[in-house]
Amino acid sequence: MENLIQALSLSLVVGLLVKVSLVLLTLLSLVTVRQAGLMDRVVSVPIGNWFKGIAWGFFWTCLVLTTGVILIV
Amino acid sequence: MPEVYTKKKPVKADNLVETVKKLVAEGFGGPPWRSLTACPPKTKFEAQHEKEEILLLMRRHPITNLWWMASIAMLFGVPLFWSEFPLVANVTAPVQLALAIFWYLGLAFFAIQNLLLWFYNVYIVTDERIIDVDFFGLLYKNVNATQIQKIEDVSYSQVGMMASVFNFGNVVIQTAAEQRSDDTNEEGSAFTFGAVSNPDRVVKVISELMEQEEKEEYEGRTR
Repeated sequence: MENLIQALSLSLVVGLLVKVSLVLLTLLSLVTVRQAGLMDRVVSVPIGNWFKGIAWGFFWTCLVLTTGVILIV
Repeated sequence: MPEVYTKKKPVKADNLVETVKKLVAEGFGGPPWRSLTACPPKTKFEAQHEKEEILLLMRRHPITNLWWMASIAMLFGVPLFWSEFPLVANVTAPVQLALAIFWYLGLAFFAIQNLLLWFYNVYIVTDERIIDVDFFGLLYKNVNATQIQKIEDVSYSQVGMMASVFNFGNVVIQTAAEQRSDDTNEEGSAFTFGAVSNPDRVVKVISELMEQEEKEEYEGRTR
């Protein structure tokens, strides 16, 4: 138990919190993708695909960066 | 020789009220991502009737996005200074980098959310109905629709310097039956078109549609 407490540093705790937050943000970005699709169904405008593209782009960026942070940091 | 095949679907002139014709002539008939579009091309909405035609498509004036854009611009520079905070200064460089990545992704998420909510919170006036589409946050939407003949009163208000300078305001539409809706707590009516540009024109279009509807009803009765 003492070894565990000694091993706990500020960086470790903050790093863990950031990783968990990034995973949650990635999940939220996936919800945004779904939301953009549903919104486009309610009101269909020609530019709607562009918004769906932005949502997908954000999701993939989140996924890649979260994976990178989890593996590297 | 008569034109059998036409590329564009002709707009039915009978259904268009005078003000809509004027708006189209003045260039408001352009792409549907503007704050006020008359007869938007290639635009449909859920539960649209087969012969129902969209006359006006509205959303909040773009200047109303200024608050979140300014917030993002201010928060963008925060990672440059956060080494001054003892909690962040004491963590290792890779963790600081991860923190910065999280910060900027969070800002991007905030921007995308606000952009989507602004773009898809629309108000639609068709030749038969008015529709108020409200999205709140990620997972909640509220769609109100009523027929033109059920409208009792329509008014608009412009409050504040920004509204006067950029010519936008709230259009409040009162219907015959009291419309119970989740968004009526904050708004004057279930059909409140918030911060739409040229509210006077919008009121005029709705008034003309009401007159047209009344006339049709009267003619139907006397025939």
